[in-house]
Amino acid sequence: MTPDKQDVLYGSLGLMILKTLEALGPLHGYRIARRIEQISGNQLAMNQGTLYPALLKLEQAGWITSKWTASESGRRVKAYALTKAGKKQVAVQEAEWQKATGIVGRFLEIQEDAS
Amino acid sequence: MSRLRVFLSRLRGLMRDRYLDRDLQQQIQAHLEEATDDFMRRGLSYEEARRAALRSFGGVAQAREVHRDIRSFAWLGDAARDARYALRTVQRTPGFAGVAILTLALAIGAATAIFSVIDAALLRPVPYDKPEQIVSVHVGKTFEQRLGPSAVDIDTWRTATGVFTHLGMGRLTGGRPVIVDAGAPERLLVGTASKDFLEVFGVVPILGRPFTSDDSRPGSPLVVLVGHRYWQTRLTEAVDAVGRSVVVDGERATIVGVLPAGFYPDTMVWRPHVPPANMAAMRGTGVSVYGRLRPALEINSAARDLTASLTPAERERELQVWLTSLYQETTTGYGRTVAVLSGAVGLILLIACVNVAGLLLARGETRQSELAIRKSIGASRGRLIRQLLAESAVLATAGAVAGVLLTYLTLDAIVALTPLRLPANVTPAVNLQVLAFALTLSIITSVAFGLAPALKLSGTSVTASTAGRVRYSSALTRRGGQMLIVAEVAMALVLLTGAALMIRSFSKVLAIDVGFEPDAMVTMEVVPVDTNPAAQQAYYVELLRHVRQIPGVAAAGAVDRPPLDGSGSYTDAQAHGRAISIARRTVLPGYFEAVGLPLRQGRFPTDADSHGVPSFAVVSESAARAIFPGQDAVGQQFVLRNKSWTVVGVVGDARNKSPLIHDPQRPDLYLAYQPGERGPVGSGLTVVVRPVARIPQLAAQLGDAARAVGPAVIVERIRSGRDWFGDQIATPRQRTTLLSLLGGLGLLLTLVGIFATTAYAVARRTHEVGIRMALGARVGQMIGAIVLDAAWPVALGLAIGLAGALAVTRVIASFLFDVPPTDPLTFGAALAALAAAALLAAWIPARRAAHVDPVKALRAE
Repeated sequence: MTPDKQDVLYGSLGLMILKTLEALGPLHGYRIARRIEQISGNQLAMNQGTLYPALLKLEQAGWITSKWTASESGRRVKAYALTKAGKKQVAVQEAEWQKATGIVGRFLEIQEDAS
Repeated sequence: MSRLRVFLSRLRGLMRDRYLDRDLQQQIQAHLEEATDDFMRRGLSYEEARRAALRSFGGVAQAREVHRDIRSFAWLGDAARDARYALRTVQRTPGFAGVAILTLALAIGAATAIFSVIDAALLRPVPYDKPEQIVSVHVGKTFEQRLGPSAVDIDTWRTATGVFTHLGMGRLTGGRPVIVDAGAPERLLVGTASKDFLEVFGVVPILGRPFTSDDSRPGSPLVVLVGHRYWQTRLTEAVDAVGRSVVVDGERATIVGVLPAGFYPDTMVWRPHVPPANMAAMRGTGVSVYGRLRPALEINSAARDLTASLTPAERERELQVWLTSLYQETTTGYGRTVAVLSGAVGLILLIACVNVAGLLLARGETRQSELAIRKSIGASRGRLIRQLLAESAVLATAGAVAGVLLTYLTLDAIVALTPLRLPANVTPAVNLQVLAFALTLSIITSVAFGLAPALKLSGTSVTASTAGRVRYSSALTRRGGQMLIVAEVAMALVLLTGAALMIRSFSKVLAIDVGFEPDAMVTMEVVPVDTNPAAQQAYYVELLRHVRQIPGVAAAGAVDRPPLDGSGSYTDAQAHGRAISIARRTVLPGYFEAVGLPLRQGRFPTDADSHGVPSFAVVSESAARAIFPGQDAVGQQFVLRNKSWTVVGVVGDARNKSPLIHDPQRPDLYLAYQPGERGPVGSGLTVVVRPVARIPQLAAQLGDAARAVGPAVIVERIRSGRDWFGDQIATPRQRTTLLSLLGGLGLLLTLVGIFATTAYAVARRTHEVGIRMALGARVGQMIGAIVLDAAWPVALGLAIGLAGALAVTRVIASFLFDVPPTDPLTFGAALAALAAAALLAAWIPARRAAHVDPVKALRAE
């Protein structure tokens, strides 16, 4: 019943979504998925379907909101946008991510030294 | 914060599940269309683009499943699905479900009913404000030798110690009934209360004022408080009841207040407690003393403080003050009955659980392929267990609902059967606690009977049952079923033995020789309102003359205390230099003929003996032997209470007390009723009539005669000797009936269990039976083989049950009359009955199975 921290906080997908929304403003699901794929240089083999549960979790945590609007092609789509809490969360998670990768990075350096 | 948000949003999700699912579907739809457009822009055909979009999306179904898990509480959805599925499963097998639910309903119903009685008896027997502060007070060297404190003690404790906020003395239910006259005379229970006595219980008059110390002062005008029921029924709830006057025991009294409902409802009138001046310092006068402890004062330290306030001389004699909490005082003596009843319903519940477990297990055999398939398509073992437990829960819930309904419908009857003397102001009811108890029971039972089968069945391996249908009942399940039979039979035997002991004991009570013939007589209690002794005697003599003229009346007499009624007046007679205790009764001629006491020597007194100052005496055989050893008692003279008496006859011994009271039989002495020989206030004589045969309307005729003779008279309790005797043995009858019912219920459930287990086992073996029959086995052999399968667990169960019964029946030893708790005859009978019934329960399905056509049996697969 609690947000799965491995997934949302330390897992990259949640942060990627938040970052995407921060950079581009409100977007619907397909656009978010495409953006993530593009940024990763299409190196991320992502099932786009997994996006929706992730979006739901973020929405439940109150970091994003959604509403039905029209896409550029005039299709009825659900657009997601950052909330105030979500904006703060981006900063928090970014810092945590940096810290985590920093720690892991240092481990990798040590291993290189030892070899 | 965020957790709470997630929780709340999931809670919302619960309500909007369907909406959210549609919402997701629309999003996926839009997503796929957008993606298809994109791929088409890159030059793919619509079909190719559509396929590519689906591929990059991944599994639509998986996404929806994960989404569904997140948006609300997954387990809740599972539980709901399990419950729906379980309901369908249960509906598909109405026979199985019916038996299971009925079994549980009977067991839970019995347990709930008994619990509601115990709840009333033990959990809320003292319905007063802060009852833990209320204590009864005694003084004595030991607790067993304790006496009620004196009026002087109370004054001392009130002034010299700070132990009590309220302390008072009184009689809560009075002693003998007293004549109260507020227009029509009647005999009522009249309690007494000193100042502060009712305040101890937090009882405040709803009208008027409580007693003050002035009310108890000798010589002050008599005032009374009336009980709520008296106010309702006699004073028609008049708001101006205060100030009215009633005659209490011949004395005019003014009503000063009305007590609230519920407080000792049988006590109709309360008068101020006035200890006689010469008894002010006397302890143990039969008056109750209750106090309310100062808040937060611990009962033992209060008792120490009070003991310290005794005089040095008293402390020298090692006297102590004993405090007993009202709760403890009220519930003392319930323990054993409560333990026995709880034990019995506990066993019944266990039997029911075992029973249903057996049914589930047997039925599980037929579900193995279903479970195996579920497992092979990905259901985890935990998931299967949950699903199977959901079925148990459905059964238990249905059982509990039916059981509570059963309790609700039968509670009055069960309360009437309960051998607990509950406080008058407490009535068992199906209340919240009882409902909570039933709910708890249903949860516990559903796990108790569901878990073992669920664990076992969920362990079914996929290959075992998909490879082919299971032909023969697996040895494992068969052994499981047999173990259940062992348990059931063992528990049933314990219950049955207990019930059988009670029945045997009760039959002995019924067969007891009381020395006279209660069945042949009719009794009527008559109290003339005129308390003038000469007038009373004249009244009774005249009444008996009238009664004897009623056609069909063979004999009529009167006595102050009928035999068996427990109360007794004893005289220490000096017989040749030694004192013996003799039960003394006052009689009018005709009494012996009426109760059917046999004449041994001399003659019965006649009306001629009643002229002037009657001085005849009659003694029982044992009294004759004790007082006049080696002599002829008839014609002997003796002096008692300053009067001279002449023995005219010797009669047989009669039981003075109820057959259940283990009291040594005492010799009886019957003295002539004399003018001036007036009993306690309001106590009349009981007229005993012996009709030649049953006379219809005799009761009405007796009442008419009593009212026709003389002026004002109170007539009470006209009843047949059979009813009257029945009242004397009410407690053992209640115990016997209740335990027999419980024992019978246990037996019934056990037989159903054995029957069902065998029937299922046999059904699974139809094919085997067919083969063996085809190979030439005889019907008898087949039946034998099947019954034998059930016989050894029954035998093992009987052996275990026998050991259990031997260990347990000691608990009811004190309930038994003239039967040892290990009575071999009773044990043998219970054993034989259960064995026979159990084998019959196995034989019926076995016979049916063995009589099937072998060809049909072989095709059955």
